[in-house]
Amino acid sequence: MKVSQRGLVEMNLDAQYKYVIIGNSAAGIGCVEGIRRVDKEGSIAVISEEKMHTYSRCLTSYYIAGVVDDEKILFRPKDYYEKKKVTPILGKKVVKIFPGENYIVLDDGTKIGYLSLMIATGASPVIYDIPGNNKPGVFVLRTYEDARRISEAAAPGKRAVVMGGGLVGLKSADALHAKGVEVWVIVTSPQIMSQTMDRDGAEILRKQLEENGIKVMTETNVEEIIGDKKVEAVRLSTGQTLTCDIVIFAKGVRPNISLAKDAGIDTDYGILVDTHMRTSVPNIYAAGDVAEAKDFITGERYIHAIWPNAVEQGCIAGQNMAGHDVEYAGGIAMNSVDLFGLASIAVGFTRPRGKDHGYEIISRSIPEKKFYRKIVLKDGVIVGAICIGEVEAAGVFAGLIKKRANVSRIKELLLREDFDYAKVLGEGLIADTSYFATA
Amino acid sequence: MKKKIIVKLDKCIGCRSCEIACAREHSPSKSGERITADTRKALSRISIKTGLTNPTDAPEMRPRKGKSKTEIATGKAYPIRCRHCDDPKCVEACMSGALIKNEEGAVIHDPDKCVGCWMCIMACPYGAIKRDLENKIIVKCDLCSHRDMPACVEACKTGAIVCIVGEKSEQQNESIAEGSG
Repeated sequence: MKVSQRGLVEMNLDAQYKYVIIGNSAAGIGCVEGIRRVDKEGSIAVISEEKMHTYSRCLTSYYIAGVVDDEKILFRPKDYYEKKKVTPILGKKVVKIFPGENYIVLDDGTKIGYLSLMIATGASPVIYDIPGNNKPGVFVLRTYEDARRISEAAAPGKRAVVMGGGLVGLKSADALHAKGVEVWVIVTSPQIMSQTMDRDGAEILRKQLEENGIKVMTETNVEEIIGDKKVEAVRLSTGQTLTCDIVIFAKGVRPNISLAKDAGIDTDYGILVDTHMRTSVPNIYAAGDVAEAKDFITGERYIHAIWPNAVEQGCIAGQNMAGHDVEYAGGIAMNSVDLFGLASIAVGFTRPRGKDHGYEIISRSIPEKKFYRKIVLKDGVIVGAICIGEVEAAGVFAGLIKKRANVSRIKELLLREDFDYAKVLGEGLIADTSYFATA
Repeated sequence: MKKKIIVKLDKCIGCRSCEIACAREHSPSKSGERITADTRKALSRISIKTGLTNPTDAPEMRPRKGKSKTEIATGKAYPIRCRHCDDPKCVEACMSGALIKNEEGAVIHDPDKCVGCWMCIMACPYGAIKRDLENKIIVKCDLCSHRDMPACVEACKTGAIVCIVGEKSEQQNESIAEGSG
């Protein structure tokens, strides 16, 4: 494929690129790298509303805590765009996509043509409709700017209420606590991390937080944010009032689909994509937190809004955009969080509930070591695993999930503290000849 | 030069010389000892792990007395280390940008960028990445990019760990450099 000059004239375009990527985070960068695996020269433009060089959203809480700075938060080196021959168009918002005519329009009116387009617009934090939610002192944590603002507000002696006990909530709480802020985490569910962790694991993590001075209240809602000119307190569903200076909404995210929806691209909760990460328009792809893609375990479409899946999907889409034929096997949930030195990882489907049938759960807990492990099996195949304390084997479990290996034979071994890849090989579950050669 | 390390399993007797050589090579003083100026502990990037039974005729490893975490493992020895995958899951999962696959095909870790989120550990199906708890970062094999022959290969007395050097490192029939057996 060659970029023609025709489009520039007929459509009155200001510029034209072979590949246009909307989004400069995990999926966008994954896409650049996927394209460059196949096509070393084709022109690429990366467009983002944010002015910042590509950085890691997962590091924003580390930024608040002061663990990373403006330099270290960058996801790729400063000369990255140059080295990858990418034109960054930063601080500009895409306002419209014209799928039939193959061009997009920026907020300053610039028209940019493409041969193939990637929509990696991500997701945005949800701010619940409660009184006082727009007062100064109310924050969300998603972008570098969010982190910078929270970081400015956070100081020793201040008090913060974090709404939500998921990863973003807990990481924000951890970061604020590191800055000397007194922190309450207010959770609607009966447990923290209700999306990723089972109840027993969540209880261990809650204890870890509380032992280290973060207060957690479950089955509680914030009903009102009180304050004259800025946040002064919150009123809880328990009737209690908590004095505070900072409120953080960490109640989940919603995919940014409006751009795609307005362009007539098929959407549901997210942008619907096939196993090639292609949308309903053949030369438009989507990846990351905005894309509703195949789930590895169920085969249905689902959004696992996590970093590794975004990079992988972007990379697969990029290769396909450049003419290769790469299929996405499907994503699984995968989360890792280290709270005050206690590591915890949950992979796959870890919480079968009453309505889910046919699952077998095995688990082991050694409270004095803060060791907890739970394996969820279906028909002898691992579909989910939780590791707390000892996490080195978590990847091996994730690998077994993806290999759909029948582990019935080694079931007891899975719960051993020293379970590792050698046990899998030793029992002949996987023949790994690419690395382990026979003489 | 592209390097690839493979393991001839039937030759590994689990002597752990590779672990010692690796830890020494990656310690600040290269002696394996802790020195005061730099508190980094000497950690090996290769680990001898044991399968519990012995499906082949390969030599069995002796029980590691008091060494394993709670239970004493016996069985066939497997040297576990990073194999620098063509499509590395750890690089995909690394949210800090500390892990990259370089032009020589090695998966390289930048300790200054690492924040110890353990996402790579979560993604590596081989369990080949270790935690350095003291510094809250990970450690992994760097293919000894600073020397020709990887330390583990040099230290392997039985010729179980083999380094293949060449452009097409996938092909085993290129120049095979064995350790100083």
